[in-house]
Formats: sequence, C-alpha cells, structure tokens
Amino acid sequence: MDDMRCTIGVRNPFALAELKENRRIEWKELEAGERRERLELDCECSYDKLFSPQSDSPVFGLIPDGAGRWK
Amino acid sequence: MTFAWQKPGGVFSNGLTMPFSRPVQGVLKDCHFIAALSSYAWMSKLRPNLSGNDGECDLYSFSLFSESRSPAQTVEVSERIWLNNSQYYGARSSDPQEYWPAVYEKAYAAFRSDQITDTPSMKVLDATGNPVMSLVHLTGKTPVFVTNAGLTAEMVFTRIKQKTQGNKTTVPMVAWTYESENAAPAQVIYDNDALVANHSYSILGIFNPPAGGHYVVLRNSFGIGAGEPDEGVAHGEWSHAADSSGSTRLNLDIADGIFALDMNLFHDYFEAFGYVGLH
Repeated sequence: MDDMRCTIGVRNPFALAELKENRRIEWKELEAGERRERLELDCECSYDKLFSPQSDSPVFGLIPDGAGRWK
Repeated sequence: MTFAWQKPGGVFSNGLTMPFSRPVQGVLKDCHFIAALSSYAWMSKLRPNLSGNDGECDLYSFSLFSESRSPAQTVEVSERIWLNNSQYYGARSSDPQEYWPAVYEKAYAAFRSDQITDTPSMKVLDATGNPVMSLVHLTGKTPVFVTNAGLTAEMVFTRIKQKTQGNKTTVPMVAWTYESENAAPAQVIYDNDALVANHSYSILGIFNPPAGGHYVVLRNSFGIGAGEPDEGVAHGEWSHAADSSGSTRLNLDIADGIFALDMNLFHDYFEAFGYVGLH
C-alpha cells in the first residue's frame, strides 16, 4: 500500500456556504441553478472554478476560522 | 462566531440506526473518512454502542483500527459535538433531526490524534488522507486498490463488477479523483460538484440502464448536488440487491449526491478505486 496516494481531501462547498451564512440552508428547497448561485455568492468564486485546485477556490484553501474568512 | 462542545438534540432520529445516506461532510478536508463511513454503512447494518452516561450526556464507543488486522481500539466519546449554537463545523446528517455522523467523526478525531479525550481538536481531521485507509481504520480489514491508468474503461468496470452482486457492491468500496486536471492522463475538466478534483466518493454498485451503457453508481460525501456533467450521467430508478436497511431500489438523484457515471468518465476522471477485503 506504499504507493497509495494519501493527499486526498477537499472541503464541502455546501458546508462552507452554511458556515458563511452561519445557518443551515435547506438546499433541496432550492432549484439546482439557485444552489449554484448560492455557492458562488457564499464561496466568492464562480461555480465552474470551485472544483479545481487550479483556481483560487476555498474548497482547496485554508480552513476558515470564521464567517466570511476563507483564506 | 463562537464554537463550543454542545449537544444539539437527538443523536438518532429513527431508532439506533446508521444509514449510508446520512453522513454529510463539513468544512474539514476529511472527505476520505465520510466516503469510507458511508461505504461501510452501505455494506453493514451499523449499530451504535451506547456505553454509558457521564451525568449529562450519553456516551458512545466506537471500534477503530490503526492498520489492517491490528487489534481494535475502543474510543469512547460523549454526544457533545463542536457547534456554534446550531451551526455545524464538521460532519452532520442529511436528516436535520439527528447528528450521529458528527459523533462518529469526533471519535475518529480522537483516534487519529491518539488523544483519550472527549474534546479532541477537530482540526486533526483537516488533513488529507485516502479513503481506503479510512476504510481500514473503520474495519481493520485488508485493503486493496486499483489505479485506473493503464487499464481500459472496460477493464476498470469489470474489476468493480467482480465485487458486486445484484448490481450492489459486496465489499465497502471507495474511489478518488486526480489531484488536478494536469495529473490526469486524459483531458478532463473538474467544473461541477459531481466531479471534483482530489475528492473521495463511495462506490455503491453498477448500473446497466435499459437504454444501454455501463455506469458506476457513486455517492458524493457532500450529500447534495447542484450540477453534473453535460453527458455521461444516468438518471432513474436503480435496482440493486438489498442494502443494510433491506431496500432494493434507489432513485439516482444528483440532489442527494448519488449518481451513476458512465464507465468512460469514471475511467478518465478517477485516479483509482479500492475496497477492504473480508480478511
């Protein structure tokens, strides 16, 4: 198992959004497009850039220590 | 924002059960643990071990393993979790009326930090890992992993299919994506929450829909979805051998983070998959 990569890990952007707003978001009550917009707003990153480390996405960034501070 | 160890309500909402669809990842980078926990619950009827009460809270004990075939370590923690009033930091349940994944995650944090404490630093889980190793920690079983590069999509699908019965996995199985687009041999773009770079997923089984094609059924530890690839995702009802709850059907809905991915996309976007054996 020595060559099994152990550098896997990202943050849940939906949880990041809830931390930013400091409340639970009823995601299933939103349409898919609304969910994407909410992620963009709360994570301060365009939706299609959120999921690649080649962008400045909080999904791959430092741990947030409070609402609105991702990096 | 002030976090503290708090008891938000009932640990369980529907009896002492731990269904696979409940663990949802928080802001920690422990997708490897959440994916492994969901896969473990998919295979086994997990039951909590209520081990006592400290006068204010119930105590639960969990068996965890440092490596395969090592003796189990029993970790006992209370039902207090790291909260800012009702706002979670780490794992939570897809059912807002319960929070047992957060208690399990706290026990895992204590285990990983070698601390015999009810208040471990949850930041120990803000670390990368591997979902197969997390499966070893949960089960103590022997790990196996297969890298997709060098195999054809058909070969990868066959390897997964060999560990299924009635379309459902017969062992706890997980997969992970490449570290970035540049690390993938094929041209890939991680631009939606169904396919995230450097992320861990549960493999639930295989799907061969009537319309044709071969798909791998995955669960995203995010527990919710907002987008998916333009092509290569199958929808509809998936029939499978009975899971740990006795259910034999599942609606493949990206809104639950559960989706069926075409085997060619699975081959290209995922670096590897793995499972723990029976020994």
